[in-house]
Amino acid sequence: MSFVFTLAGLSLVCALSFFPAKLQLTPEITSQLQLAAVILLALAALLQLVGLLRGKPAPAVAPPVPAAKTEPAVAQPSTESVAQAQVVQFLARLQEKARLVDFSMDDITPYSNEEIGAGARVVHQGCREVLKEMFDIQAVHLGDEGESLSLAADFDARAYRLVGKVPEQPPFTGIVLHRGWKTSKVVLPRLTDTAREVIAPAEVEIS
Amino acid sequence: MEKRYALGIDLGTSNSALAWCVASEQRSPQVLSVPQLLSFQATGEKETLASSLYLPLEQEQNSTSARLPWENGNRPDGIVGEFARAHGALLPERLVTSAKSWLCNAHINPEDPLLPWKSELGERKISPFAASQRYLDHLRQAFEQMLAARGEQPDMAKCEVILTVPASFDEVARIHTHMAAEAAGWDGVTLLEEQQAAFYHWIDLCGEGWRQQVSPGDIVLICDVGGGTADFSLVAVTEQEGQLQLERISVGDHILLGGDNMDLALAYTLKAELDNQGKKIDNWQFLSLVHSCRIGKEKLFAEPTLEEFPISLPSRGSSLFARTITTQLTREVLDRILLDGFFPHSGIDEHPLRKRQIGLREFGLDYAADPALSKHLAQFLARSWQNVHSNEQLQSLVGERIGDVRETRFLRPSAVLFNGGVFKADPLRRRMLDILAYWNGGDAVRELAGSHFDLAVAKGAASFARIRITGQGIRIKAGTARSYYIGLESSMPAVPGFVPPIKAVCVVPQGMEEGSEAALTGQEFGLVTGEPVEFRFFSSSIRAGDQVGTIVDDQNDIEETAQLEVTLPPAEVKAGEFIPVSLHSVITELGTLELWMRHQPSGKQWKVEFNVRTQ
Repeated sequence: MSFVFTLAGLSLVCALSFFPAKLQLTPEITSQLQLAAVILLALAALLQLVGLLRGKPAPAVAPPVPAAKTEPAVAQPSTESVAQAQVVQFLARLQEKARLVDFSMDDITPYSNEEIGAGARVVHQGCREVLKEMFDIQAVHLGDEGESLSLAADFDARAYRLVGKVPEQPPFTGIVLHRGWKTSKVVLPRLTDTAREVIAPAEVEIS
Repeated sequence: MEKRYALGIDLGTSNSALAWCVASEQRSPQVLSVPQLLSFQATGEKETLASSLYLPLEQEQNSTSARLPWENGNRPDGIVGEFARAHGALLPERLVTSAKSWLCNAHINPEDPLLPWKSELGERKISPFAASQRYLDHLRQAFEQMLAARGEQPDMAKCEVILTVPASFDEVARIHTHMAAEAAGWDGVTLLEEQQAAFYHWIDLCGEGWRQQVSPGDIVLICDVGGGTADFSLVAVTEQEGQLQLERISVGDHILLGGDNMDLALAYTLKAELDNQGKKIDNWQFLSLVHSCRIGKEKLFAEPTLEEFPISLPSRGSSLFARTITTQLTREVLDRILLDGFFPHSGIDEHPLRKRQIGLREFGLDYAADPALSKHLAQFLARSWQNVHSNEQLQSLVGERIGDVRETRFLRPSAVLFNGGVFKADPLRRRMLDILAYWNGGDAVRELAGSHFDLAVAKGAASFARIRITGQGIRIKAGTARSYYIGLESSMPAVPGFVPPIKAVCVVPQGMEEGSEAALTGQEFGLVTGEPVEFRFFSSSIRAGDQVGTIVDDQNDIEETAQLEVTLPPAEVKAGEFIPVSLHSVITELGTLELWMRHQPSGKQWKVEFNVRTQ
């Protein structure tokens, strides 16, 4: 359905942009047609999104899929679904390397601090690897925490957050509570589909 | 065509890399970011391409949505790179690794589909040659894609490509590497020894300053320990008409011993400790133990005050807290296993235990039997003396730098260039310097510092490619690293129960340069047309004095490399005719060896093929 809307919208756009002279339209009609094109395309996008959010009902047993028909149709997935899949992929990486989902989903109450500490090492080592792989993390404030810092009027409000008794006018002088973190690069894996259900597959060992 | 791009490819045992630069620009070579699968769903770029090939299940193949930019939507039947290595470690029967070591294994035919080794995959198994071709093809696609993304036309004719091989590779392994590159779409690749590439990188880093860091009379040891292999070379520094000259005077044998062995040794030690405590770990936990040992080793080496590195091994189930096993890598274990196990303070006359004989052990890769790298190095320096001693010209290059301890003669390097990820650890470099100084009669051996241990080979190869394009910059004089021989049966009266000894005749002297030719005169071969004729083929890295035609009487000096085969097509001459021919050897401009049988009167010649390995 959304495909039909997309086609109709796109052909309208093409006609309007390539043959404005031949069509001999009044400015009023042109603007109406443009609006129609936008609406058609928006409808298409909406349908796509609704389809995705609903998801397909999962059958209890996955039916065998004929190999020839599994090639995905060449359609650009929406930005939103790609973004969601990216987040799941990132989470999958943290689970794979750092067992982060295992760590969070387990009931922590019955275990001793020692057992939790041992598990935390796994999480720490893995998270560190993933963060190093995907970001280049440095402190915002390169000095020590607890030292005094004075910020001028043009300070970057995204990099520094002022708390406590903050005056109206600079200088803003205070103590650094937290050094803050920033990243100079973000390297996320590229995804080619938007599957975002499975974070970590169930594992079956065959011996 | 004018060459625009200078490329260096490091086809490594465990990791490969490509570095490149525009020849006319001054910038140092940069490493290509190689797109590869990071999971079945995602792709990303890394500076190295793990030399691992994973052969996925059909179901995995069908659900793999990630596609490399050049795959055009086709399902890959094999996955190369980091993810292949990580995922394949859990399904070892489907993981191809160490193809390069198999390429130079003397007991197999590199074009036989036998990898993954001992796997029951049947028809999907591939040959070491095909695996190498896969990695090289992946790098080519990545390079072309990068050029296309920059809006430049990917044209192989504009690329000067240097592909590195270990100095210890024999001619058969070199030729197969070269053929794999051609099959992967790289045209006109020139081969360069990895250890020389590391040296070119160091020169490139120092700029003109390198001339201040070495002086005539220096013998530089290139000590290269990678993930899976160790390789040594010696370069002599001399002076001619006021100009410094470099000449590679000796190369070592291919030693299958490297950083991965060190991590494994640590992991096995900790596993034994856990076993003693009654804690059993499974295969998956062992893999994570090896990984943690690598991180712990790096941490402990980087921070001398740290006494131990705690390690937690989670169980495979989803509960992280219930069955996690803890242990620690202590400095005591690190020093005992790594420093004293792999780099012991051994004497120059202590050489590795002899290789175990095949038949007494399981057949597979020819791993070094003795982990002591210092003993392998001692043996190399002694064999280098033997090599240099056999040749007057080389003797004059090394001058006084000969040592003699308890009747072991050896070359004493005066400087050392480290290469390979292992030497990122200061304590290991220091230990090596200590050992070299001890062998040098207590005088310190200089470290040529500043190199990048991981990517030096690819970058150095690209620098060398630029030198070839522009003609600017010093070249290391090298030529063939070994001398080569063909085996002829001695003509002796038949004696029952006695196999006539083989007479090995030198056909390629050591140091024979690219673009030169030699003829074995005074020895004619009678070939019968239409019938294949086989010869045995030998090589040596310690007989620099041999000239073409020299006959070797000491069989211990040479090792069998391959079989040669030549068939004169009956179409060209009358079938069954007996034709006298002479043997000519050619080192091509690209650095590969060719042997030809030539019929002098007609000028016709036939190429001798390197045959499958000897069994």
